[in-house]
Amino acid sequence: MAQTQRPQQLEGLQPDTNPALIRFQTEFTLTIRPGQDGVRPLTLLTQDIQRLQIVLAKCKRLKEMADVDVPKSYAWLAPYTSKHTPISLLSSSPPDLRIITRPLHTRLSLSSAGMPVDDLTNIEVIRNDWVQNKARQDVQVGENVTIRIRVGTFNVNGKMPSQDLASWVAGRSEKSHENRELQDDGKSIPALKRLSHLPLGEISPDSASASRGSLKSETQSINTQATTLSSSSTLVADDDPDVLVLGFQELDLSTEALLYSTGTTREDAWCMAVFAGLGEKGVWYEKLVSKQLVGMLLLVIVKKSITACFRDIKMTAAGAGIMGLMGNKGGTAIRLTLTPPGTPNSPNPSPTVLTFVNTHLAAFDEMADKRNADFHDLGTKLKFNTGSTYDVDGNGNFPSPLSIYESDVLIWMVHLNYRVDLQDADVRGLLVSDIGDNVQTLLKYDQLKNAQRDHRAFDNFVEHPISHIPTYRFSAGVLTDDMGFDRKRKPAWTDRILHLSAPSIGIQQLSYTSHPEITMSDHRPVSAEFSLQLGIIDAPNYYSVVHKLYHGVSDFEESAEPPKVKLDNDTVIFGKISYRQRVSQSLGIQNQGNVPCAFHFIPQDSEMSIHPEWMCITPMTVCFTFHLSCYYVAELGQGLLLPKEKTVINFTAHVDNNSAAKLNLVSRHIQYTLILHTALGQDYFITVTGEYQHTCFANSLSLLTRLPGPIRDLENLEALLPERLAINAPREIMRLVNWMMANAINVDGLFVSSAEEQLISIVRECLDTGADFPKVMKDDPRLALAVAQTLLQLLDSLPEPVIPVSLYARCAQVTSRDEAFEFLDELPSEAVNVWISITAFVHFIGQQASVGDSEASQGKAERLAAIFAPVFLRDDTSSYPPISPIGKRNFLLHFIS
Amino acid sequence: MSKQFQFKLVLLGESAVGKSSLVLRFVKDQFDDYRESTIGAAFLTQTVTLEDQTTVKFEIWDTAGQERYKSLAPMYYRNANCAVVVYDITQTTSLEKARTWIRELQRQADPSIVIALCGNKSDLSARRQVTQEEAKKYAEEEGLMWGETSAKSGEGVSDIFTAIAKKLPQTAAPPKAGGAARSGAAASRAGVDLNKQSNALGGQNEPCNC
Repeated sequence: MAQTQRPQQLEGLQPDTNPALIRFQTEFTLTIRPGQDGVRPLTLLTQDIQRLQIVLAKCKRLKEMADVDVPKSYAWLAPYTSKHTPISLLSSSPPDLRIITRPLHTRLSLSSAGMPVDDLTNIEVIRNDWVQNKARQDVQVGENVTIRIRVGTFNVNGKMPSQDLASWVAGRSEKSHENRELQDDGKSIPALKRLSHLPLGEISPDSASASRGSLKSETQSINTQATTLSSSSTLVADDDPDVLVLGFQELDLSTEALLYSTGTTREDAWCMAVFAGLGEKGVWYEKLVSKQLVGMLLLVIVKKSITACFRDIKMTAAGAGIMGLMGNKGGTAIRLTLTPPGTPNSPNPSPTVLTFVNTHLAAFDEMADKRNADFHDLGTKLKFNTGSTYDVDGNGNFPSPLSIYESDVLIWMVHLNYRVDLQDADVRGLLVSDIGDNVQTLLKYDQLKNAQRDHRAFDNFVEHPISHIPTYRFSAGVLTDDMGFDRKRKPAWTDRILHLSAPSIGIQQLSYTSHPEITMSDHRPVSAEFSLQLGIIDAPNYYSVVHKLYHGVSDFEESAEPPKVKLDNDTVIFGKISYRQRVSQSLGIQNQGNVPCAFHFIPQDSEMSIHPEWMCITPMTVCFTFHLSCYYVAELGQGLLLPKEKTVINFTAHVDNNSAAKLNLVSRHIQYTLILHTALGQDYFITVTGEYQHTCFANSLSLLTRLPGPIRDLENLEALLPERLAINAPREIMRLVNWMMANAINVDGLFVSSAEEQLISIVRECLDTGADFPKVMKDDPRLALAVAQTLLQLLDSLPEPVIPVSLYARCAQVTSRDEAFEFLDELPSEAVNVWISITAFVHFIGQQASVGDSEASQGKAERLAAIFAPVFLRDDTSSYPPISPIGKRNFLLHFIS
Repeated sequence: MSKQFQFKLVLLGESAVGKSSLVLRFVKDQFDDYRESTIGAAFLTQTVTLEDQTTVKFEIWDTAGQERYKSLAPMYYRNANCAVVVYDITQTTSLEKARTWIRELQRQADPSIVIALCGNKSDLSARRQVTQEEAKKYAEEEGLMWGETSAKSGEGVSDIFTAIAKKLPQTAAPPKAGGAARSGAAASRAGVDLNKQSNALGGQNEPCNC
């Protein structure tokens, strides 16, 4: 390996490169003798004699330095003698977010036991990842910059601004805004003082001078730096955004707008409205850049004090409308390079690339596929040109355009036009009802959520949980429902904000909400606030560390010596593995060889997964670099050998409903052999064993009725009762219902209120072992609530719901009680018994609550129906058209009200 | 130009009969007196040059012999062109185990697999429990190659691998162009003629003839 072979002799210039001859020759040879044969001399060709002389002078100087300064270390030669550091490691443009947000082991080439592995490719992937992470770690000095970004999306429906936008752009309601203004003359802290440590008059027009203060630098390292930065610490407290990114759609609906530029009148008007919405703080901001395509406008406003931090601003736009080109649909995008101000430790911080995309996708419910296609299409079409003459590379080529994904943070705000896949009456019915979490029920049928789940669009993008009501379509006048939604259009969450960010970025979303008080359009604006924490990394330092690290590990695939690791043990013993109880074990692993080593887990067979579904492993890949330690030590000139690198692999067993359903059918002792593959080396077997504790959860009802006793006592499946001797209904379910009948009928909030997890697991264990439930404490409802939740969880864990999926469509259309009861004939007998005993009990507690008050008991029954319907008749989002959730609740109400 | 072939070879046999030592002797001509039990599978390569200048490159999978890893063996012997089933001449039980492996290979491995039965530790002939006659007779009945080796002294080691190398190209179908050995493509059942591959335009992208 190059680094271990210390050059012992350096002959800078060979005879044929005698300076006297250079005028006539354009070739010279440089030979570096590392004290070993087999090193090829470097032959360099040039026509530029003058510059060659500079090179030669430099070579001579380096040779002198090498002879005098550090006779034992030739580390400076590494960049000249070793392979070049791959461009991907040194590129100033971040890697594709779609790739780096995937776990490392999923980016390796596939292999399995006994098959040749593409180790060379895998080594490269693992090594590059390691070099980047390690360099980041090494260069970090604990300094961070926090930046707040407020993002908004608004389909303005061709309207001009006519209302205060304060709540949307500044994140406060009009009311509190007014209050604050009133308070300003009063006792509370004046607003402007809250804004900054600088009085208004002192705002420097030269924003660069103020920039250092305003990006909130925090340092955890040395106190002396803290003081220089602490002047800005007052700013940390204020929660005004540093950057405001607003996406507008349907800014201009006129046909002319499609054909030719209609000027910037509308943009200017909205821009003014935004600044007006910022109120007195508006003076602190300025427009940085905007990009418009027909009706789509993307506007970036920043605090004046940090304008200088944004360099290299790029914009692009692409149509996806008529003919796939016209700009009535499509997207605009802006790419900003944010460079935080330097610090004494990091004078030249690495920039962070932020990309914002504003898109307007195809309309109408049934166009979901077209929207997914548009999403992928725009991902390809939206490219930022890098065509400035400064960027021409050595071969005279323009660098290729940058994708929106070549970014550290990508925030995509969209008038997506994604809809809710339910009938109109269901959507409105659920929205007006105050029973249960209806927003969440509706979101199960949201087209965007489902496209993400099925990996059809916005794969890996993160969307903050939605708690606001749909943002479309509102109208004024008679044609609206009680909530103000247009009767002719199904309400939907069409306006969304999603993001994708590199693992190295600390991103936190602080809010995600709609602004129903802004009523000028048929859509309601949506806003999201993000807090980004960026580690300050000195760029030149980072690249030199990347070089150094890379050259320490660049050639391990060429080593003749195979890698060798030692595992602390060849077996991982979990002991008892119980349903829903996490158990972890760890295993030490050490690099015992003299070369770096990359390892990852491989499946036994290409058809199989790497590990059984009841367990997970972290990490799945590791790059060991024992050799690198030597390299560093040698460079530091110390005679001390660092201990060989060691790491720990964690194994976690966690049995959920899916894996319990399988484990319940096999014997108690579970064993699995994992295969750990070392690149270019051996496969190591790791045997994992555990004693599975069988549970009554996640079994079919018919199996439960054939249990002769508690499931933990069952030796094997042969010991089940024959079908003819099966009991009427599962003992476990009846036990829960009977216990509640005796102990819980007067408990408030049964099934509705949540229960303590620990109590639930105690109740579950009692069901599995047959042990008695704990004693009830007088006036303590906790156990009763836990028993109720256990029943819901048990029903939810059944591999097949109590009511078979095939009956749902008809169930949802039942109109009378008699009709509903007729359905029971179609259920298997054990399901009928479960259904009747539970609905009877639920009916009973519904009545119990409020004897004589029929309205209250109806309300209670409806609430219970909203809880039990998704358990008995599970929401099945895969079938189309989906079954009405309200219809399912009504079916259940025939039994319980 | 001389021919070059590449074959997948798997070592099977009871724990502690000397599979890893045999491979170490063959690949590196070394011997360790104290070797840890293999827990896993090692991948090594070694090339044998025959008298007619044909070169045969073995991709060797040395597997763990312990009973508890038996279920993983099929992953390693699938697609193997040849198998060396090793027993210890000082342990009768190890020959029994070898018979079990051979029956399994005959039943489940590729029908064209070349199987060699190898009695290791011939340097310990004073403690011999398995006679040459007995092993040889069994090998003849089953149509296996047979030889005795000593990984410690090196005796017979290269002979057995050379014998396999000689037998392989004759039994294998005509060499075919295929994926590069380590490029992740499934190993070709028949040997791979490396010359042909390197001569072919486009190298690895050469379509498979099969």
